[in-house]
Amino acid sequence: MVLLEVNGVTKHFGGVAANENVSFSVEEGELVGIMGPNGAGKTTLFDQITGFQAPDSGRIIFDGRDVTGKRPDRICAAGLARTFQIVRVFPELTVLDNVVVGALHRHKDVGVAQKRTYELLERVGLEDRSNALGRELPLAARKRVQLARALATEPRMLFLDEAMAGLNKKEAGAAVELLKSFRQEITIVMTEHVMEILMPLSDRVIVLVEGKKLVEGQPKEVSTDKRVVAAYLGEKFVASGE
Amino acid sequence: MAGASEVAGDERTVERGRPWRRQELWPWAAFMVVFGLMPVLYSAPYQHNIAVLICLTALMATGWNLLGGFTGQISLGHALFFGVGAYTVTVGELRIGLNPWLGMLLGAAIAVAVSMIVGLPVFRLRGHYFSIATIAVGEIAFLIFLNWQFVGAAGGLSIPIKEDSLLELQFSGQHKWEYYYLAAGLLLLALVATQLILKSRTGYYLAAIREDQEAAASVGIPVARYKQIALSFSAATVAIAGAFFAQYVLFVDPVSVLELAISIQITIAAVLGGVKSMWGPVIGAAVLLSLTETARLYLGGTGEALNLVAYGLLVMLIAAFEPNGLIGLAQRFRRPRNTRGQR
Repeated sequence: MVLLEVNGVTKHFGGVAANENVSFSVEEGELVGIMGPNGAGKTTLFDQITGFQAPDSGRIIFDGRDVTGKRPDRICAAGLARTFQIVRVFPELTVLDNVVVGALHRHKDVGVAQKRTYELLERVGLEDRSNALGRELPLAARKRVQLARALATEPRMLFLDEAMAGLNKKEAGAAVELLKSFRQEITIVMTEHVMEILMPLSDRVIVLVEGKKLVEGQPKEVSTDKRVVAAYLGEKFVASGE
Repeated sequence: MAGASEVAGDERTVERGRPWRRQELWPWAAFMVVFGLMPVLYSAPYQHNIAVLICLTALMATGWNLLGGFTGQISLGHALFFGVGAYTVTVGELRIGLNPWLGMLLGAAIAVAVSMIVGLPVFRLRGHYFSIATIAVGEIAFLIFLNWQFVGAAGGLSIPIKEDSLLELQFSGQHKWEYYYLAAGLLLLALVATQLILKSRTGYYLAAIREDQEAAASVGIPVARYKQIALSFSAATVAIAGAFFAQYVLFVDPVSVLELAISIQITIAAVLGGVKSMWGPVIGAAVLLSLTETARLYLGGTGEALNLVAYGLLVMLIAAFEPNGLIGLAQRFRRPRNTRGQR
């Protein structure tokens, strides 16, 4: 079943096309990776799908409903949650309260939301830090708070913007394990520009370059595609083959 | 995992809001004792006047703080709502013989309506731009009332003196204790309402908006609606204080109820006490008025405005050294910090 359908989305900033006629769809249960060099328009695409920017043209259909240009809170209510590339935890709230805010979206009762939060903190490995303030945590932990807060809204689909950026190898490895533990339960779309992380995780990969969709396919096909290699390394590396 | 969720679930089952903790209860007890005994301890008539003004300022600052402190939207235009309350009671009584208590409620309702009209454009702005816009809104209201004949224009309006009665909210006794206890009662109501809001989902949402509006929106919070809820509550609270004030002095004019100085006084009382705690504005109002009235007694009247210099100095010291106000200062001497959401 198709959960998300992005149809011809275009977004210009002045004369620059951040996204041009981007189309793709995501099946329920898939993990789709979106990759592309810096400035390829990944975050702009995320912002449009999650309601933070309205596309100039194109349609976004989530779960059969047209959500194009809807407000972020409506899109969250429809079942699509996100994290941010530049981590946005609530700095002066405790880890517990950060996630409770998310859990309150589906559970009006604070007691129930707290209970739900403790379960989630346990899953992301932050149960010992529930009383720390958001600003006191290192980056890797703040990313986990963000993830738990988004999951607390009980979405059907999760958009992760640069989930691993800024993490060291060990932290990134732990984050990959964490994502694997959730992928059976939820449809995930993630951006990441480290190919070694994205490729083994993804069912399908979409490559954006200069705002346009360049290639879409299985990770294996994509990583050997000449156009992708050219976009990442430059033309001269393509011809040499190995 | 099963074991841990049992621990989390044992004592929190069906509460509607955040559960109470013991250290949250003692400020209520302290409030009851201090505000209950104030007229007994300070028995001179001018002290009673200060006590009434402390209650009204604390009431305004408490209302202001739900928006300014807990939602992070610093308004410098709340004199508008104070004026709306004061004028509604006065004009209602003079023109249609409206009972002052009903006038107070009507004033709060009109203030909420006005806040919705004002909120729409003003909430499009953030940070300092929001604050500056609220100053403009307050000043526009000041100028309108200054020139509006129906409400007495610059000359103001007097409420006719009636016989002492609770129904008419008029008491002629020199000691003013009736006014005092009524004002303290209104303050208590505002504090209870604030506490209930803070413990509910709305309280969490306002905090999230204060911390980061985009992140708040991303977890499904309709940011504009919740900002308006905070503004409406604060407008209604300040309007009730304004209505009570008009009834207390039996006179309104633009200078006494709509001036920018009133907006600033509200803000300073809250900031002085500490905007992170619901008790901050109450402490701030008490300290601010005690200090300014004492300073006026000893330093005023010289024509040199030394009392105002002292007032300005106090504000500067707080702003420079303890942004969390007197409550923040007090907490430095106590155990580390008191995190929200302790288990």
